[in-house]
Order: sequence, then C-alpha cells, then structure tokens
Amino acid sequence: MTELQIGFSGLGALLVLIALRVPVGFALMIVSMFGVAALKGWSVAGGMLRTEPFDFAAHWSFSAIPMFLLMGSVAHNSGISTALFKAARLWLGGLPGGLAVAANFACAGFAAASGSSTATAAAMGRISVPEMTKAGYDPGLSTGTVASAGTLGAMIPPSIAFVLYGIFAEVSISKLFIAGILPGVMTALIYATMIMVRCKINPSLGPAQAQDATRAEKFEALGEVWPLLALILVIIGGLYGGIFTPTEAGAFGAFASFLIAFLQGRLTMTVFRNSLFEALSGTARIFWVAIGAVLLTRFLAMTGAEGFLRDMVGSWAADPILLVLAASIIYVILGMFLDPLGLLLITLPLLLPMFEALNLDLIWFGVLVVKYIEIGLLTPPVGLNVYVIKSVVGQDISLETIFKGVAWFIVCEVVVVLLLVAFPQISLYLPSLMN
Amino acid sequence: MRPDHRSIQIPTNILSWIAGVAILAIMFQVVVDVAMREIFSAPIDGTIEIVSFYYMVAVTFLPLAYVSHHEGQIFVELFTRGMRPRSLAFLEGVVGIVCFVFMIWFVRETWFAALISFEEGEMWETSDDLITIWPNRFLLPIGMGLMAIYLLIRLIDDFMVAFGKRPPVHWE
Repeated sequence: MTELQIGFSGLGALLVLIALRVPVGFALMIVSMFGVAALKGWSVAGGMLRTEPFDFAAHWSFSAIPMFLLMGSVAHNSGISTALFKAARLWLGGLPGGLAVAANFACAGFAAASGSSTATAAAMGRISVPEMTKAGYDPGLSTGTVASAGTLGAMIPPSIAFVLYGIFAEVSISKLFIAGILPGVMTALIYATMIMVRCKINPSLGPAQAQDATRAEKFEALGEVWPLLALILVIIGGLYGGIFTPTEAGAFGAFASFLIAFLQGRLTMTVFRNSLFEALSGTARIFWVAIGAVLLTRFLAMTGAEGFLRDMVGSWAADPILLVLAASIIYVILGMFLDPLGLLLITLPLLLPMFEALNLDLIWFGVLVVKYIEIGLLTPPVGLNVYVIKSVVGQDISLETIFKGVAWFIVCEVVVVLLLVAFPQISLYLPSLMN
Repeated sequence: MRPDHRSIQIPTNILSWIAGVAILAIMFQVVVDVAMREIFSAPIDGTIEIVSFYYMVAVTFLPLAYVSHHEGQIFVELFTRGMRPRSLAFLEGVVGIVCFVFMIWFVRETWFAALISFEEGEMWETSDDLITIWPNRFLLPIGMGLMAIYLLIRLIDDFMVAFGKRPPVHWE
C-alpha cells in the first residue's frame, strides 16, 4: 500500500468505526495511531501518544473553553435562562407567534452567555417548549424554533467553535468573536421574521396570547436579566477594545456569573456543584475529540492526503467562488453525519491551506465554517440539536415532527449563507474597526 | 447512567473535585492577574504557564472517568438504532474491547512519559523563574487509567447482557 492509500483507508475505517458506535474521540485516535504505526512503526505512534495529548491540553488559548462553559452552566443553573425567556415572553408575546419569537430571542440572549449550541438548545428547550405546548403551539414550530435558535450559541460570542477554529487557523479569536455578532443577530432576525410571517398567514400555528402584563411587570422582568446583559456588554466591549484575551473574558464572565447568582440569592450548593461538573464534563468531552482530531491531522500530514485533495480539487481551488461552493457542499454533506466538533477539526487541515493559497480572509471563512457546522446540527440524520430537543420533550413529540419543524429554519439558513458569501462585510465590518 | 460499584465512584469523585478546584483556580488566578495588571501594572508572574501546565491538564484529563460514568462520550447511534437490546449489547461489548485495549496502550505510553519527565525533573521557564511540570505528566495516566477501568466494567456488563446472564438495564 502507498502512503496515500493508507491515508484514505484510514478515513474509510474512521467512518466505519463511527457507524459502529465507537465514540468519535476513540475512533479518531485509534485510526490515527494504527495509521501512523503502519506508516512509521509502533515506536513513532507510541511517541506521539506520549507527547501530543499533554502538549495539546497544556495550551493557554484553550483555557477559554472551560471558562466559557463554566459561565454558561452557572448562568443556566442559577435561573438566568428562565428569567431571559420570561422577559422575552412579556415583551414579545403579543407578536404573531409571540412565544416562538420570544424563545428565539431568548436563545440569542443566552448564546451571549454560553459558547455551546447544544447547551443553549437544551437550556431553552426545557423552559420554552412546555410553555408553547401549553399555549397550543404547533409542535414542529415550537421544537424547531428552539433547536434552530440554539445554534446561535456557536455564532454569537462567546463560542467554543470559534476558539477551536482560531487556534487551528492561527487567527485572532477575539476578532472571530466580534465577527460572529452581526451574522448571529441577522440570523435571529431572519428566524423571527419567518416565524411571524408563518403565524400571520396561519394563526393556528401559534395562537395569540392574552397580553395582561403591566408595564411595571415588564420592567421588573427586565430587572432580573440586566446584570447578565451588562456582563455581556462588558465582555464584548473588553474583547473589542483589546483589554481582554478570550481566556480573560471567559474567566471574568464565569466569576461575574457566580457573583450575580450569589447576589440574587440563587447560588445554592446544588447550583454550584451542577455548574462545576457540567463545565468539567463538557471540557473533557470536547478535548477528548479534539486530541483525536489532532492525531488524525498528524497522520494525514504523513500520508500526503492534503496535497492529493488539493490536486483533485484542481482548477476549483483556483477560483474563490468555486472553492467556497466546494467547501459548502463538503460541510453540508459531512454535517449530516458527523458531530460539529469532529467535522470542524477533520476538515480544517484540508481546507485551510486552499483558502490561504487564494489569500481569502480566514476570519470570513471562520464565520462561514461555523455557520455550516450550525446547519449540520439541524440536518438529518445526525442533527445533534434536534436530538437534544427530542431528549427534552421525551415521547410527546416525534423526531420526524422536529425535523419537519426545523426544515423552515434551514431555508432561512440558506438565505443567511448566501448573504454571508455575497457580502463578506457582514462578517468583516466589526473586526475591521478593531485595533 | 448505569449503576456502578461504590469502590470506583469514590476515586472518580475525588478526581472530579480536584478538576473542579483546577477550573475554579483558572478563574480566580486569571481574574486576579487581570486586576493586578490593570490596576497596579503588576501581573502575576507565570500565570500563563501555571494555567496551561497545571490547571488545564487537570481539567482535561481528570474528569474523563466522570464522563464515562455518565455515558458522556460523543457517539453516533444512527446506524444501530434498530438493533435488539442483546445484539446491541454484544456490539457495545466488542467496541468496549477495542477501546479498552487502546486505552491500555495510551495509559502505558503516558505513564512512561511521566516517568521520564520525573527522572529528568522536567521544568518550564517563565519570564523570570522556572516552574516544575513533571508532576502534571502523571495526571494523564491517572485520569485515563480510571477511565480504562470504567471501560472494562462496562464491557463485562455488556457481554453479560448479550449472553443472557443479566437483563438489559435502561439507562439515560
């Protein structure tokens, strides 16, 4: 076997192992190490196991990940997500499909405290779907809204996906965070417009709610969430102004979340313990897959697969638009089967050199990649956010109903992607103002 | 989550709480470092190295057994969803053997790396000091070793279900 054949056999074996329920991190590591052993011998593979995992974990930039996970888990466990939905419901509930619109914007708000799409969907799903069901909302609309708006967790800063992309692509994570703001807000607005238009045309999808909340009640609800909003502004402002590195922003955010929960009398021992352990298990799971992806990258580099794929893409790789189109197709197809983290880490080593060769902006590409992995969270058969919502609603709503509900949001995503490709300034304007 | 022996839960909880202290330590040290830098222009020396080599390594590897205990590894169940419980348990058992054997190799290599680091007294240079980093090399085989024990318990359990020695247990 040639080195290239070993490389592609490895990729094939990887997909087979994943299909056979081997955890993604293990599948990546096993294939990579057997591949390296086949190419260079067992001692070289063993040597990589001795050094790579430690070197990878002992990385300052990565410490942003546990900090943002901690910030999000404290915000959720201390009841901020509930307060956000309550405030959004009181202010937006009168619109057509008001509860779904409120859930959509509450997700966008929580995304600014959480770096993870699945965490955002799970947090908001538990709170908003039962309320929408009680109000007679169409199950596809209620679940589709939260599964889709949950993906804003990866686009609106902070974002674990941007931290990983920034490190692998060697671009500023702060700039990526700022670049995600406008695309994230734009996505939330397009979602809300679609929900309102659909409910205006067919009011049975989201029956109108009686609006009996007084102005005082509305402001009282805002009072419960203002510390979070202030915190978000300080963090984004700090990143924007170059005062904070992402890790510092995350540490400050996590500390302030604890402080807010304490001052509001919500920091019980259970909240403290659950927040800590949620953040820890999230971190360990992400790093386990990421270490596997790093080993795969090293293995593929030894096989020359990257150069082969570049040659295969051939003339496409010379035309920016065709390259973006090729990347879109790759992400949409692989996104149907792979988890977002695995997808991100497996594809970057292959695609980044091509984008660099054409001098395309890697911040812009980062926003596109994160958008694609968000879409991958919604597309069948492996749409993780759909499964998250399914686990929240139990047997009451079928998986098919949720996927059907999500389809409307995927149409919106197509519009968003077209806008992001056609107008790179949507992603690049805010970062261009940074020092 | 499946029931596990208390004897394995105790070390899992101990390692998880150590990791919990490490994640809080990142938070506090970085916040204090920023405050000292912005207010007194006197950041804490070695913050980047201590966070990277000490706390991050603990946060990454010590909770692995906790993740295994809670069935937390990411896997795809699409292609096996229609399988009967006993067939599924058999497949899980085989997958468990593959992962367990790999983990033994992984633990062995990281253990040797830790021993070499210990013998050399491995250190890292900060801006004006040296910090000892060899003890943290041992966190990898410790965290992953406990995870390997979980894998072994699980695969025995899976084969017992597969061969009808025990009824399938519903777990989250």
